[in-house]
Amino acid sequence: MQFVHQALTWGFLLALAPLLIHLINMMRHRRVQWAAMEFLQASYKKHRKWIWLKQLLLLLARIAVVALAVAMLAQLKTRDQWLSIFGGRVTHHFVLLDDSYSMSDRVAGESAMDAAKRITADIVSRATQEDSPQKLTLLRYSQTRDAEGRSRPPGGISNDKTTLNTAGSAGPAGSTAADFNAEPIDSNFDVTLERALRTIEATQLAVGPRDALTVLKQLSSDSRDDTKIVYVLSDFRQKDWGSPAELRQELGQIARSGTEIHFVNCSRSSEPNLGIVAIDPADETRAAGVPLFVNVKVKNFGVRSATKVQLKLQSMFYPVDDVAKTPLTAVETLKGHVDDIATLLIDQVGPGETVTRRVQIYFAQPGKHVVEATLPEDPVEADNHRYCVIDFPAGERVLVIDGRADELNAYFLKTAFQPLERSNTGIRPDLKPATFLRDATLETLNAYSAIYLLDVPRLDGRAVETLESYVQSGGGLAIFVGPEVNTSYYNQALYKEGRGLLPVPLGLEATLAPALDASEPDLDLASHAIFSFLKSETNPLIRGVKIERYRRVAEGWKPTSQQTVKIIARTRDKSPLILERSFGQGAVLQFQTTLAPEWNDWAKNPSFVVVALKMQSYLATARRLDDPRLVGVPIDLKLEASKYLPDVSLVTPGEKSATRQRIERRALASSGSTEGNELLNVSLGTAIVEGHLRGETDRAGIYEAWTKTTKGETDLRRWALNVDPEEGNLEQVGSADLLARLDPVKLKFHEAQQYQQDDVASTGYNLSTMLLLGLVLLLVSEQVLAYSASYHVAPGASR
Amino acid sequence: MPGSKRFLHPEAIKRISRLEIRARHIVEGFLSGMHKSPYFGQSVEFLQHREYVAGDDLRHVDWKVWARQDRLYVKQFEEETNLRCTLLIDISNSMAYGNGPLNKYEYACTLACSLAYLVLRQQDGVGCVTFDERIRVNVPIRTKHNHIFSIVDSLAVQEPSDKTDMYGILRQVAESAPRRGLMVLVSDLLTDRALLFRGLKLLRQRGHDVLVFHVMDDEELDFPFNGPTRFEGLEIPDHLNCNPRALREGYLASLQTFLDEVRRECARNSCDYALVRTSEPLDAALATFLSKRLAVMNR
Repeated sequence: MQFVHQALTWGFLLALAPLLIHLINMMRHRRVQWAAMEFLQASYKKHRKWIWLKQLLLLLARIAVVALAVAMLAQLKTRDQWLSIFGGRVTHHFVLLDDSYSMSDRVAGESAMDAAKRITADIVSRATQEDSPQKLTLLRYSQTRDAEGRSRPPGGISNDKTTLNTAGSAGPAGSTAADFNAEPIDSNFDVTLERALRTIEATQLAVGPRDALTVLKQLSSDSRDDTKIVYVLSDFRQKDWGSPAELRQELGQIARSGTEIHFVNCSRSSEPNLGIVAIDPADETRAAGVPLFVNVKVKNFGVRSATKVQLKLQSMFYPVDDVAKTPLTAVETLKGHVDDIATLLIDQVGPGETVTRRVQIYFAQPGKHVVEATLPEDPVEADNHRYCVIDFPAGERVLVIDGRADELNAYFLKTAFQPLERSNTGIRPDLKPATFLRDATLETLNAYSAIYLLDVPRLDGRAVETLESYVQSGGGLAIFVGPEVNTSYYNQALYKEGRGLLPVPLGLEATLAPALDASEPDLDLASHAIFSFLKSETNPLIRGVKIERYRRVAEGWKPTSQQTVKIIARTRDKSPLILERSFGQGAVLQFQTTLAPEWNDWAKNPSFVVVALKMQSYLATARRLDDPRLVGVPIDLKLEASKYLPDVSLVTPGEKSATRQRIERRALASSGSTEGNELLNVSLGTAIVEGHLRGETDRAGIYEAWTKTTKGETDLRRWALNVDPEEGNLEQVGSADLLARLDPVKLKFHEAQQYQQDDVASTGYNLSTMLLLGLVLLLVSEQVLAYSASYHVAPGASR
Repeated sequence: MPGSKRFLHPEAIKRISRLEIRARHIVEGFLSGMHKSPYFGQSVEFLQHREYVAGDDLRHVDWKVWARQDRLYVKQFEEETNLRCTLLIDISNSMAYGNGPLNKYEYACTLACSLAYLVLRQQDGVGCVTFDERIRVNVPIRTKHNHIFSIVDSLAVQEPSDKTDMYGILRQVAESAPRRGLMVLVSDLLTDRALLFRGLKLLRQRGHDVLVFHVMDDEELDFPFNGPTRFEGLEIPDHLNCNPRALREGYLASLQTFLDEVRRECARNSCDYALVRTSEPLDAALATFLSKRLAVMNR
């Protein structure tokens, strides 16, 4: 038995009022000097028992009237009494708490997470007042992510206190996922809960309800005999609930087990939320001293335009000397150099619009530089910051192998890569003879961002295999075929019936006939990144390039659907001149003419410099792929055991740079090790700490791995982990819409502000109506009794 | 006289002046009057013949009978005498109750004075006895017109006090009144009922004509009280806290039983009984009672 308005239960003291009034009346009686006492006493003796009985009944009736009125006003409610008679069924409250970062949406000083915590406390507070036994299971979305993965059998890395996610965990996932797992609610439990809730905040993750519902289903099946009530405390964003087919299935299974489901919307309508959705460095050569364009994208997730938006860009890097000198035990204290890159003012960002701003950045020193973009404060803070780590090496090394004895091809290429004495393109050409490839290993070639084979007659077998491995692992290869090339060898060793590096088999040499129309260019360029600057009609340079000779594609070759060969340039007579194919992760460009101005004069044309630099950028793309990661994604670091010491210092970001944390971890032998190439593995991910899931990569920011090589040099690796920008989309699913989408699942939707009343109605039977009826009956009885006990003044009675 | 105005109301006297009080039974007076006497006298009412005995007055011999039967008979006539009326006024504490213009005591005194006036007016003698546990004042029977003031004065100086010993008083009165007369008892009769009835019976045995005026207040008869009340006995040292409404029904039933019993016992002892309310106009009550009584007598 309990009451909706607990404060009104003090009104039960009013039930003493009739008793007090009765006692006071007994003291306030009128005195009458009476002669006929004999008859009065006779009457009194005769009716004394009845009078007392009626008075007692009347008094009790009046007390009952007051008590009933108070109970009705306080809204007495009770559980099904039959249930308690047959053994007192336990009521099990399952609270699913959405702690994704959209729950940090703050309106009028209260975030959605605050509202969710308040409602959780309210649920427990009510449960403590229930007569029947109560239990609480509290599940956070973030704690239940990848619960199925965690429930897989363990095997792998572990240390003393923590169990890494990658290695699995002991015991069922549900029990470790729950902050409270079927915890009995006693009178002191609200204190325990308050302590626990104090540590719970919205994470920076973008986790949905699916995993939580899966865990809930598992846990609720364990308590089959209980009365189960599920509360989903969330902000019900479009992202998670827009197409809830899978969720509907999960909820349907839960509801079919007799569970009562309540959705409580904890968020209120909010201001527009701006978020930085990307920091994209341009796909160009990256080297210290070479400027680089960075595209920053800002999206407006609101329904109104945002104006005068300030976008601030900063960079941070560690000087090489500081990195070398800092011991691994104090890496978290190392302060980087912070520079303001720019502060951009975006005039207007329309609703749903994404605005891109291009900024040029420049780093004189090599290293892994951090670019951070920041937006002004708005309701959701997490997506106002975004990080990007850009590796700026001292220069991009390229391997140039020239088949000509006079190295004329190499000369023109090197001239293109370094057009002026003082200009810095960041490209470091390394001219080697063809024999270099014969002895080169994959590791040797991996030091180069691209390899240029300039009219090389032939390669030996091992060189081809190494090159294939190099390209497959992401390297770029450009092949210029000229008069020195052994056509049959190329077709046999490099083309391999379409399985080799060469995009197309080589045919005979051909001469391009003079043009009938002098204005018609010899080159017909397709749309490609390499020619992006030359495709414009206003650029006349490329039209001046003259092609005299070229090598035809072998007769009978036709592109097949399996091959990824693209013709990106043709001669005037439509013969393929430049072809491209992707090979593994890398790309191969095949030029059917010489680089040197032997079969053409392109190398003498200014446009060649542009094409050469663009070609280098394009070929090196795979090698400098940025590594965009989302928060919560584990960081796996593999180290060669022969080169690195096993002790690794990992630095995770804090709220501020001063609160960064260092985690010391020892790399262990990796399961992917091969003989002679033993690898060490160290991970930063989710871990089970004291029975609860703790995400080591749950905070957006820069993560660092500091390692020492066997030579004593410090090796620093950095990763930028960012929030999922889509979680910042605060668009909600309306209650009616959501209920329609989840139909036929029976559930109740509440707004956090009105939740209190609704919930009470659902957790017990409100007896107010019955009490009102009882009160009316009791009042009638009281009047009858009072009349019977002669407390009503008779008409005409004077005294 | 100051006291006469308290109990003698001229308007009431005026209205009842036409009434007369006649003894229903034989009374023994000193003087000739309008009431029947146990003695043979000089009245015109022939009663009987009796045989002559030596010493009888020859004037009473009925010669017509002697002439027919040759035997001497004397004629006997009824003697008519005056009335000796004794007013018995209860002045116990219970008579002090009353919330109207007159309380029971005042009403009883007024009634007594009015009766005394009537008696004296018809040349009869009237006396007055006030009593509670004992006789407080005993005004002897006189026939003079100004005797009324003695009676009024005797009542005016009294205040209700003490309890009532009805039997003791009635016996005392009976013993002190050697001649038969009219005894008028004015009381609320709130005393021991058995002793009351014994007293009345004693008076009747002594040959007195007895009139009982039972004076009750309206509140005693109707019991209209409401609200918590503490009733404190005027003669009984007891009290009762109660809700009067709850006891009213029982009270009225008990009272009715009492009234019925009194009425029945009075009838059994040939006592005239009249229940009068203090709210009732005195002249009307008296007129009604005396008229009815006279009508019964004349039947």
